[in-house]
Amino acid sequence: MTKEETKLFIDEDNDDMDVSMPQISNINIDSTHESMYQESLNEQGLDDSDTDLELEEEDPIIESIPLFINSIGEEERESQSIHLLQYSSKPKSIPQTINHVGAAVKPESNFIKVKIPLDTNKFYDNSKTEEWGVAVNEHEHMGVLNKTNGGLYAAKYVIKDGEKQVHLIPIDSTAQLRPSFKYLDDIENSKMLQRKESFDQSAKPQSVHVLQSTAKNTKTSNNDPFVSTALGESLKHVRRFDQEEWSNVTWEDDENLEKFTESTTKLQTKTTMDDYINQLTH
Amino acid sequence: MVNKRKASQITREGMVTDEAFQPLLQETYKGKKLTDQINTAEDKWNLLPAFLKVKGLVKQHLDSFNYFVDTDLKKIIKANELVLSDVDPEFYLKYLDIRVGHKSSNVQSNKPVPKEVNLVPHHCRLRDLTYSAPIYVDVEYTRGRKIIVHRDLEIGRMPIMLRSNKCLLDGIDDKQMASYDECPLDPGGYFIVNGTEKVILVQEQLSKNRIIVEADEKKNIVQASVTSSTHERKSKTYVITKNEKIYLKHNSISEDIPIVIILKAAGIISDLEILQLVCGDDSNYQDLFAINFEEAAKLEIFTQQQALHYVGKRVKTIRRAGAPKLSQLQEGIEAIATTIIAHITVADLQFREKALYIAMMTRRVLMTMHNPKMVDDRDYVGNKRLELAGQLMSLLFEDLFKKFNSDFKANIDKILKKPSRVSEFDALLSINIHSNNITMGMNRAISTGNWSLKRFKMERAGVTHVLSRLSYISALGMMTRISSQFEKSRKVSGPRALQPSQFGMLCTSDTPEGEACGLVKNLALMTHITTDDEEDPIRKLCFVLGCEDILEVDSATLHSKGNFGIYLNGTLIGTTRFPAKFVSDFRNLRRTGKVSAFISIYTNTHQAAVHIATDGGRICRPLIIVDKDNKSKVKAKHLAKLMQGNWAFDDFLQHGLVEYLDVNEENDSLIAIYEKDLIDPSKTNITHLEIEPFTVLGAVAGLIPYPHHNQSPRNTYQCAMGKQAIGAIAYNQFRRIDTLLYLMVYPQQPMVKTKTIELIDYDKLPAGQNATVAVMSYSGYDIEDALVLNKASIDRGFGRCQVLRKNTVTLKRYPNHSKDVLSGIRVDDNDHPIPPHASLGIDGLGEVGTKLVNGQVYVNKSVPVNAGESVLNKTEPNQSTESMRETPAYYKGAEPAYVDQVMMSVSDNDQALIKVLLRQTRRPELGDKFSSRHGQKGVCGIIVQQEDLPFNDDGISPDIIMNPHGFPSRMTVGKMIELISGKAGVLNGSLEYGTCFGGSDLEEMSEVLVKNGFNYSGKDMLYSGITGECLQAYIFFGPIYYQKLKHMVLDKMHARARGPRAVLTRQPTEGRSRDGGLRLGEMERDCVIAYGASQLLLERLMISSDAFEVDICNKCGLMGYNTWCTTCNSSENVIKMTIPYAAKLLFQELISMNIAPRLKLGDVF
Repeated sequence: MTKEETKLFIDEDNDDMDVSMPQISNINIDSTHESMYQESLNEQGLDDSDTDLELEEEDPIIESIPLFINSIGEEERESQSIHLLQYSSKPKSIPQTINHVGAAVKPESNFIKVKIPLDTNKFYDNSKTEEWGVAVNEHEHMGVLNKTNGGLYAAKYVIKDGEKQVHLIPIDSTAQLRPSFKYLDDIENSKMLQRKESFDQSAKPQSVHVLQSTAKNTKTSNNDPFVSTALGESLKHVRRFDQEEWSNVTWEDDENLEKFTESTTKLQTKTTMDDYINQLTH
Repeated sequence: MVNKRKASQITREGMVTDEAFQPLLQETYKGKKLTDQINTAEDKWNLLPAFLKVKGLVKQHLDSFNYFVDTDLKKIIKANELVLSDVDPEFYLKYLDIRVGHKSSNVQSNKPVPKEVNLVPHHCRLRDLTYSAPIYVDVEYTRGRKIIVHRDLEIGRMPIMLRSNKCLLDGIDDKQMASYDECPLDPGGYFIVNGTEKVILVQEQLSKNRIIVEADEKKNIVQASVTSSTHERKSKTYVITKNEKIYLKHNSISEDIPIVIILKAAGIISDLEILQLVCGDDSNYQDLFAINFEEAAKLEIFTQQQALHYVGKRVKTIRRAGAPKLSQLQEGIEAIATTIIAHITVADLQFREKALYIAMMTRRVLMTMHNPKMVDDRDYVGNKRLELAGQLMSLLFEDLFKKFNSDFKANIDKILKKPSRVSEFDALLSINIHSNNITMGMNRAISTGNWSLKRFKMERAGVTHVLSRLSYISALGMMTRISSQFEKSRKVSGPRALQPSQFGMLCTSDTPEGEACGLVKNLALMTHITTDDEEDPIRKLCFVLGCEDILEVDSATLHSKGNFGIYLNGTLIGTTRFPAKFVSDFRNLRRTGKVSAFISIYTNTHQAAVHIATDGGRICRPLIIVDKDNKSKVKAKHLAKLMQGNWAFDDFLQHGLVEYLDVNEENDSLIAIYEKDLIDPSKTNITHLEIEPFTVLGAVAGLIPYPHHNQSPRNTYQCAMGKQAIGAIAYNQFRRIDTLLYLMVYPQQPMVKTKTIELIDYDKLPAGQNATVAVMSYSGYDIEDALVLNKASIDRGFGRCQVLRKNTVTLKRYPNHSKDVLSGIRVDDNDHPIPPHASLGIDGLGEVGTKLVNGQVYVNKSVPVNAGESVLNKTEPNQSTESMRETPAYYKGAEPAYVDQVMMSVSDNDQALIKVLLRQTRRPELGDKFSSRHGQKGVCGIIVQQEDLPFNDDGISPDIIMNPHGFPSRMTVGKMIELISGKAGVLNGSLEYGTCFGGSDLEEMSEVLVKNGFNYSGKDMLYSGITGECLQAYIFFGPIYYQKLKHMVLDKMHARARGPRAVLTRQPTEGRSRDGGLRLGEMERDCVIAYGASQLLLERLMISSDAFEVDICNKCGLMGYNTWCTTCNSSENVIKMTIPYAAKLLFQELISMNIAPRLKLGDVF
């Protein structure tokens, strides 16, 4: 997405509040991905209402450009989805294109992981490498995939046959990617493990007792109605996350968005403004 | 002038019933012909009766209760819908639906739902029962392999609020009301539990789930706190500063956690992003915040996992039996996800919303550190929420329902555990066993007022109060009362002070004096309290209106200039760059009725925030919308529609002419008070117009005529006294049997009314009389505000009142099948009833209308002698049934009373219930208390024959003479104007108005006086009734509305020469009710000592009290008896002397503790 395209939605020139470096990526997922795309009138009406509301104010129409909505084909749907990835820690000064080493998702937990090579030339502390005994040369970025409930689109502005066109592709989810310093955790975990092992060896006979007491504990069921005996909701999520395997995905960059700009039917709204507002509020 | 006259003739307004329609068919309606011109500035007040028609004075209670039974109950059921068994994994029971007061089969789309309540409300009152309706649930459960759906299972009974939509009285006309023995003017909004009327007072609380920033400048502490409230738990999270560093504090964490670590634990790992979220690009904030990073770095916490470990290590684990043991990491996750800021839920491990919330709290702290003016005001009404009956009931019900379910679960587990079951297990059989729990729990909570919630470990006492039925206004005043949670003893003035933001929301005058001053408030006339609204549709709407989802907003730009955060109920949901447009779009949608009218939206430029509130408990009020050209949107044609009855208040709302604003949104608007202010060219950005300025006052303060001319404390005094005035209580007052009822025999509506009086129907149930008052001195018995009363006026019925007192007798049944009975009359030799039984009928009950004097019997009850004896060892059945002991109910009182009503009924547990209502009619006497409506109270000092009183040219003599010294220091100018308006009204034959900020004009009133040949000032020439001479001064003379207050001499007078004594100390008893002595207290004692009157002291403190003769042994110094010392075994040195019995008691008590008090006696002379 270039800057020009963003302008379509927000008519302020230097408006980049939305995302610092938006990048649309099309990901082919190995495993099946739940299809959540629906071509509902709801989304179409959205753009419509925006323009209508603006009409009420002193905001004249300068030009109307036809909208085309695109979708990933039904067959491709199985293996493809479009996501908006935001690299929240990447400053503007770094060029847009990012070389990816690999990406993986946990579709059940809605989690995405992207590996990015680390620039070891600049600001790289080689002494730490020796200290830790691990050479860190790639950086993991992780983020939760927030399902968009429709209404979020990637747009492309093209001039086709001398006609201006805007093509929209619905986005499945957005994710803000943050670096995770897994190598630090790994080091700590391994240290902990070592410590535990040495501790366990020294205190082995006691562990038998512990087992017995826990067995007792589980038996005494309580009648307090205000305590749930099961794990909390969030811990269930954690467990599910830990149990789920990473499934690798292939990566397609936004250059390939061309592929989608094929739809030829002009978008026309069937919902009236009133209907739409009623739909929203009731 | 002409218009004013017309407005004043607008007479009382009909009820919501069919009768109200009648005036519409007349040629003139409300003093107006259809052809009359409508003046918007004058007539817009008609919106107020229209508002009260839909909203009513107690509508907040009804709304809240209706919301509870219709919506909240369903939510509670949904949240606790499954009951599972620990034993049988196959078993489940699921609640599908819940209804109060009707079965599922009774719902038909076009017919109104029948209301299934136990009895007519008035019968519940009389029979000491609870007015309630059954709670039905639909359940789905497994029986063996089958899934069974069972409908209309009754799980308990819910007390029903009178006039709510589940009440029998909802939407019926006056005729039906009368057939139910119910007063059509009774506001409802209370419960009847065990026969007593109970009100759940409105509770004021700090708003939930909102950040409040406070600063202690002395200690140099800034703290942001948020009380998270969910269905499951309530907890408070703080972000505080300590030595310039910022920490997060929470009860469940043992020590304060550095804010950077918390943010890292919540997934914001990079320091850059923390800085972006907290400080934005403001270098001031960055400098203030930078120090916090050092702490985390020192602790070597860089990753989320490390931070979670750090937090988890410090979590106070309350290990409950059965819960699995958590690792440190899990504890950390659990703390961040559910404990801290509990009202934000974490789904899919998406911690960002929570992290943002913490960051936002930190930012607010930083802002306050930088600029101390950024603190929030706790006392600001916009930061307050009112908790109503429905919310409190819902808390209680959920607690009881959870208990019910866990009991049920324990029950089925017990059965399912048995290995061999003969038949298939039907869960429903065990659900009914404890179905009394919910009913009893609700009843007990409402009747005792103790709200104990196990979930929140909350114990609150004094939630409910008995509805005061002293007068109509006292009942009404109670329904609008708001009590605060603040301790009364605390010596802070802030919560008690008058808040500018309470304008129009809370009455400015009505608050008690003394310890609760300013803590107990009252609602203003035109207020509405919101109920909870759904958040989700609003959130969606925000996104459509151009709000960008917070999850897609980049941290770096979150706080960039011109970017406004959008907060839904205090939680950041997104940002917008065009707040003005966003807000105006939103408001437009609300005005068109697409969004609930009670959702408020306002911008806060200091915080760069747009706040949207959908939560319940906000106070709001309707205002007329003013359009861009400074024109009121309510036009003459709209008012015409209203007055013709084609439009109701809701039409104004739907057409976007009127809207509700809460306190916060009021702050975002400019409100003109009068329509003439709109023309003012200097004010261009007026957004709203007040409907009527007098709605700043509440219902009780609205009774005062010309309150805007009074010194303000006087209005406050009147608010307290108006509730003590004796008057008419309700149309069903003669059918009521209350513990104590005061009724005025000839109540009159005030001649100087206010619009409020008409709106709240005080003119139909008044409490007072129009007395002709002469302001002059007379006889010297009128000092210190004492009043001189005219004896002839009293003879004619002025101030006459009735006191009705209930006496209850129950006839009990005992376990050995014996029971209390009524015995008949005992007669003397001549077959005449013995004197104590003179007023009894043959049934042993007092005959209605008979006189009772002190010591006479009105219920001749007899109790079996051996009622305690058990059934088993009953040897002689005949004897046990026959031997009865008389325990009659005697009438006690100096003045005789008359039997007014006798009621016999059967209470809940099959015991006969007898209520006898005794009546006294009282005429005013010396010492009875009266007051005008201006906080001017006084007692009757003398009653003078009419012929001795002064009279005017027409021969009119006053009913009351009031001393003129009452005026200068009290500055109740309103009372003087009331007199003039009243006098003009008498001469004119009209009722005048003394409405606040309006009312009949003084000059016009003076004109009327002059026209009728009176002095313009209201002063008349009077002649002395004693000498017949003309008085030397002109006397201010005219009618003023006087109230008789409930404090009457008869109930207070008390004297005693000798009488009962307490058993333990042998001192006279205490209190009038026990015929007690008059105490010579500590301070009086001091006086007598200082004066040196030792013999008087001896007499008062010992001889007249508890003198006791003791034998004291002068040898050992201890007490003996009968001139014999038991210690010395001799009577040699025993001396008799008199000491107080209390002293003797003390000595004996000391001896019992092994301390020997020895008296050394010496000769005085």
